[in-house]
Amino acid sequence: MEEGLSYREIAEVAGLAIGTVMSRLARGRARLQHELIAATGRESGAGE
Amino acid sequence: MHCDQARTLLDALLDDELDPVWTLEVEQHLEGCPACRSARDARTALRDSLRDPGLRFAPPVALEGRVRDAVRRAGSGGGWARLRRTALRPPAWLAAAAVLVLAVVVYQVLPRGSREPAFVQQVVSSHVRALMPGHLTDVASSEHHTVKPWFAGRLDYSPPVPDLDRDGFTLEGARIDYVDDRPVAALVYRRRQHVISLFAWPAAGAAAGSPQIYTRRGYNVLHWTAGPATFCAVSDLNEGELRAFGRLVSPGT
Repeated sequence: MEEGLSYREIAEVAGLAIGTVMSRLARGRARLQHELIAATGRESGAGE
Repeated sequence: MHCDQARTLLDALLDDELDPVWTLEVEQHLEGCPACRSARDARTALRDSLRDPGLRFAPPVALEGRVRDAVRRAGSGGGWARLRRTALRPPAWLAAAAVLVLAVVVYQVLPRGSREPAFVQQVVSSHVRALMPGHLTDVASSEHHTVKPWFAGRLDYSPPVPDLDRDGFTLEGARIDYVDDRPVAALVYRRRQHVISLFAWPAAGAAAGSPQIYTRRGYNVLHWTAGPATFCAVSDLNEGELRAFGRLVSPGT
């Protein structure tokens, strides 16, 4: 697999509404960002 | 638009998944809201961090062999082991399916960078920045005999500056911009009310190929290599006219 799917494709594969895909991705990334900041103590995330 | 709504749509904006109307609304909100701009910058930094190749890895080739050996060893025992092996078979398939689903999710969470070259985002950002008042050109001239020598001493190569006035593309000037951390020539043309930034840099061994078109944040990006130079034309001009522009810049592409 070379690349990710579009929101619409994820919605079709996962059987979800596209709005649900959007909000779950946003929530997931917000959580990832939060965890990375907590782990590294830096606003910019994993590393620079 | 409220901040809550803008924050919800921020990821979709960065993923290029918003339609033009929503894109405009979110961008307008961002212009007037420093807090949301900072949230966007943080999310962009997260994306850039995840793009680090050091965070990606492929499983070692030997792993598959070790898993197979382990399965074989588990299967060579007595009745219980055979029973476990049989019982394990459906979950193994489920595990494979789960890995596939995980791969889909992980690839989606990682930025969608492989579809288009990294410089596409950079040239669009440069073009949008240049559209702000006073940023379009460092040298303003419709005379290519003025613009071409202007690059001497500013770049270590001399970009072609085609005169396309009679074809309806008026030269407005040029500026120096940055793509992939190096200074590049950016020529500015105008067709009716549409501004075109034409970036040019040495091809550095890139093979000539058919021009590629990308669309990002409502702008068309035409990319091609011709002879010693690589070009990138960015504009809100429609794709057909932008391709025509490309053919005029590099006849035969």
